Amino acid sequence: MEAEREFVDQFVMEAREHLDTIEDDFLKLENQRDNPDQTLVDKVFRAIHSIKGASGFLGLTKIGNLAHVMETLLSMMRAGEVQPESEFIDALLAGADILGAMVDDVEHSNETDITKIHDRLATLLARVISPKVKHEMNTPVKLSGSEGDYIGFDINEFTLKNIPPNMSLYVLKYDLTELSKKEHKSPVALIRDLLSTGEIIDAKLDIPFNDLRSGLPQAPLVYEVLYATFLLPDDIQEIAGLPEDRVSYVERGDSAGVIPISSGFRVPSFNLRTPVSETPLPEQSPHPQAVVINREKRSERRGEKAEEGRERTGDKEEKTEKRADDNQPATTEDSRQLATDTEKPQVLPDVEPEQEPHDTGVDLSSSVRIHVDILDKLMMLVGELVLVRNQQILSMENADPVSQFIAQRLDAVTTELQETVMRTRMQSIGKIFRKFPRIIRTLGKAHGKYIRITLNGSKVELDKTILESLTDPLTHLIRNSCDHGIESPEERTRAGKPETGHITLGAWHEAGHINIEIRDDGRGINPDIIRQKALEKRLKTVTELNRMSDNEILRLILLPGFSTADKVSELSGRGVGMDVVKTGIEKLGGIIDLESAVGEGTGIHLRLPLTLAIIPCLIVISGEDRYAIPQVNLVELVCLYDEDVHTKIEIADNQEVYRLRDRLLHMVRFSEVLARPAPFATEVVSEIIEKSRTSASAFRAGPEDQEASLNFAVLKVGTGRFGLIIDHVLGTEEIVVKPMHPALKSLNIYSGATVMGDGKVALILDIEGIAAHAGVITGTRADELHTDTVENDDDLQTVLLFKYGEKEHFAMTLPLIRRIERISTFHIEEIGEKEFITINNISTRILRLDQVLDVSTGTERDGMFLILPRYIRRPVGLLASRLVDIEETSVQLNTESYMEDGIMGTSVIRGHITLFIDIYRLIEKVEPEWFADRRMGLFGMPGPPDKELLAHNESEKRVLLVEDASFFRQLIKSYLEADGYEVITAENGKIGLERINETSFKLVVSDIEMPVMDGWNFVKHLRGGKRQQNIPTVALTALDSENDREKAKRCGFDRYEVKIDRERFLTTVAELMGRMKSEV
Amino acid sequence: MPKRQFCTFQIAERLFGVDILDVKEINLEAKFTPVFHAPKEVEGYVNIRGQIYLILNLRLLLGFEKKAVDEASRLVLFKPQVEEPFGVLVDRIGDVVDVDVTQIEDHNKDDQRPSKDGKRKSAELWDGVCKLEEGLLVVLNSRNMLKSIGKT
Repeated sequence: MEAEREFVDQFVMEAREHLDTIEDDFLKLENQRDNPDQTLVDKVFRAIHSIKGASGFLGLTKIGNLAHVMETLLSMMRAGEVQPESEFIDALLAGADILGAMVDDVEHSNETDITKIHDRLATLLARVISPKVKHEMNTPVKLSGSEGDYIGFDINEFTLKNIPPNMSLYVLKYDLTELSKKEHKSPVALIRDLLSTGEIIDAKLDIPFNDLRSGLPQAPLVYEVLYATFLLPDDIQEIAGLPEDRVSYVERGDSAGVIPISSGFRVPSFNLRTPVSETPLPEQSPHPQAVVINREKRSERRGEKAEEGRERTGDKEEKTEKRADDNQPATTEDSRQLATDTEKPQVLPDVEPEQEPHDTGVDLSSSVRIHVDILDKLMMLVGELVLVRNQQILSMENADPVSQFIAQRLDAVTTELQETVMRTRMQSIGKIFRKFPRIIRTLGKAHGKYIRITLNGSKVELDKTILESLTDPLTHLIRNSCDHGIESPEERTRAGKPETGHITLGAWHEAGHINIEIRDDGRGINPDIIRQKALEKRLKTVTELNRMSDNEILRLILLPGFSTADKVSELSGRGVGMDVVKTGIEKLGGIIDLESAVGEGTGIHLRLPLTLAIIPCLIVISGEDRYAIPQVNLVELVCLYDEDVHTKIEIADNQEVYRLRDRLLHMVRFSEVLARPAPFATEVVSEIIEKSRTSASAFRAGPEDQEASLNFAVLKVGTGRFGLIIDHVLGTEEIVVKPMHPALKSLNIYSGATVMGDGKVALILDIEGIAAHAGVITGTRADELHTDTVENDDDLQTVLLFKYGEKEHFAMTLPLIRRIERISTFHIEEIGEKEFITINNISTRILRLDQVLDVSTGTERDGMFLILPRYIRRPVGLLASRLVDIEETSVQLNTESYMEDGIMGTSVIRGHITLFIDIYRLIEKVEPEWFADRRMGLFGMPGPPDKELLAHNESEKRVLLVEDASFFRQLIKSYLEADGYEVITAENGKIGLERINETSFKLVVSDIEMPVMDGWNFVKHLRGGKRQQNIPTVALTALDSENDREKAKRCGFDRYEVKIDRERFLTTVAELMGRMKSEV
Repeated sequence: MPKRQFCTFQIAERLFGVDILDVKEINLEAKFTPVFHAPKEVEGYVNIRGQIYLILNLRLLLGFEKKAVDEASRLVLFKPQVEEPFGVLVDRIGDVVDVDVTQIEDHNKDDQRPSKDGKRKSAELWDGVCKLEEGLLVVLNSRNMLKSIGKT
């Protein structure tokens, strides 16, 4: 029964689509209680209506029954008789649930017991219908064709009254058999089409069978529709795909009021067209039969319960009858019959039919449904193609140009194909998100809490597989927020918070990943309680706990043993089944992060790959084999040379560690991991240490035959990090992930396998598994060492120390450096006075410090270094003779002892006076025209401004700079001052606000991360304050994510600049000061 | 007279066979990717036309000494319905032989029944033995191979 399945499948899919969004809409309506959005009411009405319509064809009695009574209630809402009160929404939600369940199991839907929900809805209805409406509903209206003939439909006054006056009524007659054969259009599709341009007021199916599930019969099958639409008669023929003689116009009669002339779209001659009664359709004689069918149906159903399962549209009578019984038990048989028809509540308020397609959320004309199996297969094939492509690229390396060109084309096409196919599997996360308002509503009611939820980024798309596996963890987290996060209204009031708790659920893209954040403003998690709990459960010892930061303590709730035994009430925190959430997220290759402030709330951050099938990886070699490290886990790569290989890796606390920028990093030797199948015991670790000690002393004895370098990758696991020592690094590659063979699933150091370009298999490493295997206690030790030295000094800068001439020591901050190239002076070319060198096919201008500063001449060597600065559009590099080191150090710039144009200041580092280079100023000195545009705008001349010119109208250029790090404070101040602004500084937001109260400014520049009061709060206070609250404000920060930008905008920053692109920043400042615009 | 066909091969000079209906192909591929931490019988992963196969060393599985891969070594790859893609490394491939069902001795009368516990590991893999002109053929059950790894 192909046809049968096809119809039912089509119905199920459509019904699901409708039901998917309906819950959300109901909840929205509830919120608009007093003034419901008509388009929304109409949308839900139509959704239910079309389910009802289509279920009728397929003999899905119960679905039809339930949809009908829901529809009736909704029609009352549409007519404004009922407001969307909680009580109704509750019932409608319950109804939608049962509808959903029935649709999901459509085969057994007719066995579902819907009496309870049906009665509930019917009782509600009976209560709310006003006597007037009741009367209208029982007043039949005879409709007549253009020549006064009976059209075969009776409707009631209420229905008619609620058809918008500018809609016209038609009777359409379809032959379903013909439709299916000639146009391959199913009844379900027909209803959908009709609903997109108008409203089905009533419909009849002249059919000897009970339903169409057994496919369409061979004989003509007449389907008559009483149809209300804005369309013109000519159009309707076209849209409906019917010949003239099957469309007939219906007079609305007096009761419907006069159709406004202004609507003037009805062709006057239409009335002359052949009336319906003279249009003999096969096996059909208009009105009496229709009534007879109805009657027959009814008696049939009374007589034979067994038939129930195979009822068709007409069975809605049963339910409406029942309703009629509820309303007026004493009605006669005839009036019941009328009531049946009249109660079908096709009420139309003023709705623009054009909106329809948008409302249903489905663009029917431009989408095709494809079975997931096909997509999966496609995905698999593309995976294979990517492999073949990789192999082909390898084999083409030495081929002739033509073949190489073809190979490149293939490469490009494959990449695009891969991306496109991946997109077919993408679904919006809104699919999960929209479940949550309902869950929160239910939970809130159950716990007596007031909770609202804000959803952001529902349109963000991610792979279907990930989406599906995300439902449970997310639901869990949301439940946790409701159960344990948000406090009771009383508690909240006591704490001085609004009664209603607020949960925000957001999703956004960032660098090939999906970020999801669940944030509540509840009581937060108390680390002390977690600590205590961890002790009780013997998960950690006191010593261990004392060494952990609050954030690590929070992460304890993710441990398996933590949650299961105790119940929430005792814990008064979170943690029920959080380990399950963690496992779920990690299975998807994701990462979970927590933050919480007691009394303020909790934020949970998930970071997930967009797709599981193809991931970027770092390919490394150990022994003779390649391994892939997922890029998500990778932080950085470090290479040690010469004696550092043996001296820089130290032993601390029976572990090999490396001091990376003042953080201790636990080191794991990957070759040892591979060689030892059993998790590392203490003895094993000692053994490994002994081994490397021996090799270190061997090195001291005779360094010649020792390896000259050592690579390790800094990897992150949760919030912790460790270093994995590997033999070689090959590079990054997009790889197709294949799961591990089931027989090897128990090996936890691998997460999968892949086929490399040369056809060999490589294993994908499970970084978490390796950390566990090697017994890495991630994070803890390292952080603690870090905090000791750093906490009291927030002014730490990572600087590059280098030499140029024999005497001076120079420094540049790392954020200002794009990269460093090792060059050979042999390749330097001279053009006039200027020197250039070609790097990656780009001629790069060389800047020598002794040419721009009063310093000693450079030490000439064959191999020198070129420091390429960041944020400079043109290729230029600073020549250095020797790189001393990279040092994380606290910088207090001294601008008094030695100053020169192009130097930011001096600082004593490692016992030497070190000159800090102002690279932009230096470049400007040699190439003033590079910066000419902005300067021209500002001062009307290229180059730095004249002091006297700057002197006048001081207050016009006063800028407040809020920045905690004194280094940056000086740096930015010097930038601004060079452009002629007067700068007043503040160390944090609080001081910034004080300055605002004292002095008037033209502009505020603020950092984000600051002690005492951060940039977010500063700008919030500024905007909410009384003084200079509208002053333009620029955020200048090292944070550079979409989320931060979003937040900056929300908090009230006008612009957002990243630390520190000098040109961009100064241009922004100039724009905000209104100077660029006015003069250029 | 019902007959069964076996794909035969040599392990340590002895003749073994598996039901030909379970065999997908015989392959020469010898570039294995070792899987550290896996049971010793696991020879490694191999890529056969984009599909990754797990290869077991049948010598080790049957309790013989390991032997280096040489020119005669072959992979017997099994059909996916047997298990997730896997194959075995054998010393030398032999002919396909037709055997009368009645000729097979000592095999379980009820094919579906798993072999009894307590037997030697290799016995789990033995489906039966039959006498051929060229010698004794031990019929192996490919379905039990993956189950028996890592049990030593």
